[in-house]
Amino acid sequence: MKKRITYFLVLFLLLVAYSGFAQTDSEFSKLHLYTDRDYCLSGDTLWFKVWLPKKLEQNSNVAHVQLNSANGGVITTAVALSKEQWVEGFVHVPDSLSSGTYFISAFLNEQRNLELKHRAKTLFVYNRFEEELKEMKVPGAALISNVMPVENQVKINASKTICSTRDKVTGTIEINLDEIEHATLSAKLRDPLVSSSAGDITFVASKNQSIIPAFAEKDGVLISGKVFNEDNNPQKNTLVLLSISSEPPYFDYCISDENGGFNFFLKHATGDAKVVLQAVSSSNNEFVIRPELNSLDVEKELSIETKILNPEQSKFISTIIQANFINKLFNSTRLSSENTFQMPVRYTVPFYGIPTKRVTPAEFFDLPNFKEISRELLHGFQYRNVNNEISFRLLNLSQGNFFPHEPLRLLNGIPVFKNSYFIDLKSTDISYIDIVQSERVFGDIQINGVLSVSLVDKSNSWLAQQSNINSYTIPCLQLAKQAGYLRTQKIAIGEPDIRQNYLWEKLQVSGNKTFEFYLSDLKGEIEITVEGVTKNNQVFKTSKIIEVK
Amino acid sequence: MKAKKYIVSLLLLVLGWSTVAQELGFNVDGLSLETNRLGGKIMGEIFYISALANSNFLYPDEWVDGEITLTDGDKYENVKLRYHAEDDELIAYNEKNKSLYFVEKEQVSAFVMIVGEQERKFIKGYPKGEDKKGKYFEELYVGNQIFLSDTHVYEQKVSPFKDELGIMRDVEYYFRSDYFRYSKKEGYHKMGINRRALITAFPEHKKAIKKLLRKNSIFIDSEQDMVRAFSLLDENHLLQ
Repeated sequence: MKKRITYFLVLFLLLVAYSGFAQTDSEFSKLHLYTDRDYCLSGDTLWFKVWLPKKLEQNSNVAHVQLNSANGGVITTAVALSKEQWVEGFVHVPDSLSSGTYFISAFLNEQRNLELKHRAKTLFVYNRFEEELKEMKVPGAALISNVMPVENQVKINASKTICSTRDKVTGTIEINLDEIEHATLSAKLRDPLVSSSAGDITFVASKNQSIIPAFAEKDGVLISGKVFNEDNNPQKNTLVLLSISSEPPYFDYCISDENGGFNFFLKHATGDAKVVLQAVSSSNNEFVIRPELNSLDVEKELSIETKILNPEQSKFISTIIQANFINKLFNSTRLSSENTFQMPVRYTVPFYGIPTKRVTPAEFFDLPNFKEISRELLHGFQYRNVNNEISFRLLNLSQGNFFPHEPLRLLNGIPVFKNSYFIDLKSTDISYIDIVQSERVFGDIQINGVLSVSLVDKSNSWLAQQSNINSYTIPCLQLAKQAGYLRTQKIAIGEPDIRQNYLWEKLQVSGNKTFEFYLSDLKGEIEITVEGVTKNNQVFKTSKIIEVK
Repeated sequence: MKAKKYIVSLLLLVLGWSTVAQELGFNVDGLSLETNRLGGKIMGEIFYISALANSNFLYPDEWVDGEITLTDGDKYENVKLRYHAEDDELIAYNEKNKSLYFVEKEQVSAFVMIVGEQERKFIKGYPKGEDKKGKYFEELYVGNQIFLSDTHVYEQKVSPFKDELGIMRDVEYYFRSDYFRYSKKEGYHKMGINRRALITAFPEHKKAIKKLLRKNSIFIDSEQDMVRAFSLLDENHLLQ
């Protein structure tokens, strides 16, 4: 009897656990990506909105967006923070990207631990130096997912169907569909190729080889990578240090897993982080560190086929390439790719503790080298030279003797393990010196005194010649920016206006809605589109075409 | 002869190793995958416990399990804790590197110690006149007002005597508590443990307080009595 109850209990628990996983998987499939356009020129900025289910957002509010080529290669990625279930950001499409079909998808980092189906949108990229495009590789019709037609439930009414350039277009949206979870409204120049060949596709992302920790990204980004030895074998149980030269300096450590993988988390970090990574061992081994992109690994190449473009499609592409050229002449609207790194200071106390002493050499007369500086200004610090071997020792104030070993040595907050870095430092090179004459703990490491030298030159150019220390620029959370074309600014009559996107906003999911936008100087067909997802996770789309003559 | 060879090779190996080894400046013993913590790291200064501190300054008498909550909400559970009542510092034991350390006060928002069957919660407060680092208070009652105690050690001169270790001493150490009430609006106010202190704290409810205490037969003589009184006042909306 007892055995039977145990079996039932185990079965019940298994079922509960399975349903929990299944629920999470289905929540992941609800994550939906919108882009402001289905085609773009190389060098353009593509804007995105990602809708996150509430259940997922409570756990992780950071969405990743990646642009893939058809063979699965990652072209670029972006990571942004959600606000009320919406993540908004942008992707810079590289200037050198060749014409073709690319795929853009959104995901949460936790999804990389699972082998899941993902939804992606096609993005047709036309290289801006293309002279005449006669054929394009496009996804086969079988690859494109069906969308639910909702012409009868969602009606788009425009004030006029034939317009002139720079006209004001107004209209209403009537929604009689109760089951909408989220939707967007857009108005853009219609690309004939997009109309015939673009859409949503489904692909399978393979489970990531490295172990991504069971850690939801909340308000920050995960920095991952792998450490290898000189023979290119992954190194397990190796200490990896991360430093950021800031005020106070940021420092963290991680022990690599069996695949050599390591992870760090930068909370509230925005912009491009300049991080210094180093793998260390007391035996002075050489290591190679390779940071890894937080990206999905597309399991197999997506099938695309060559399509001969018809004259209308070719003409459209030539027109927008020319328009882009004119736009570049008159108005450089590309977003600045410079992203200043910002990360709020978590604690004012540096990771090595409140310094026992801070010495600012500029307050004293100039000294020619570190030996003189230590002798004159750093009391309780010994600079020893035995057989041309330089060693440092600090007085341990709590024990009343010198530490038997070297202190933790930092240059601009970056741990260094060779005293030769310090020997030639002059007073004028140094902003300040902190010394900590006590034993400290940081996490599970015990620090035996600290010598921290902050240099006047914060560029860390000295890193370039050092082995085992590498500096990387890692994109963190995007700073909130808005697409230029969405700003309500009037373009002067003499200036060309070659916008191809006129309107793009989140749509209220019920009732009626009015809209208005101004057309540009470009002629052609304008597609006003309402697209969204129902509560049953079905994608719907409806459009209205107006003509600009 | 063979032995000699072995000794020489061993010596050479040791010498070789010592020249190649680099000193990191920190102790990495005990680091493993379990020590990876993405949410952040706790920091502090190593503390060497002395017999004097162990028997006179630390509360409670034994190391107890506890939980530390950092100012950013990050939590450390199942940590062995004691409170240093003389220095007003929280001491934690790090099992990985087998060390005791003062937890960096700036990081701490609150900590809980499980003493016997009781969970005793301490919070960091900033009463007027205290330094920027703040001070630890034990939360005795939490409602519309918080009733807190500040336990510290004071020393008293006594006639010279020999302690258990045979050391001559002329001071004895005692724990003493000061009591405070706190509200967001009014901040920290020191108060005594008696009826008068309670009435003085809320003069606008003087009559009602007197009546309530009498009706419920509360004679305030200890912190438990004061906690009961605070709870009673709160129930009767006299702490708002």
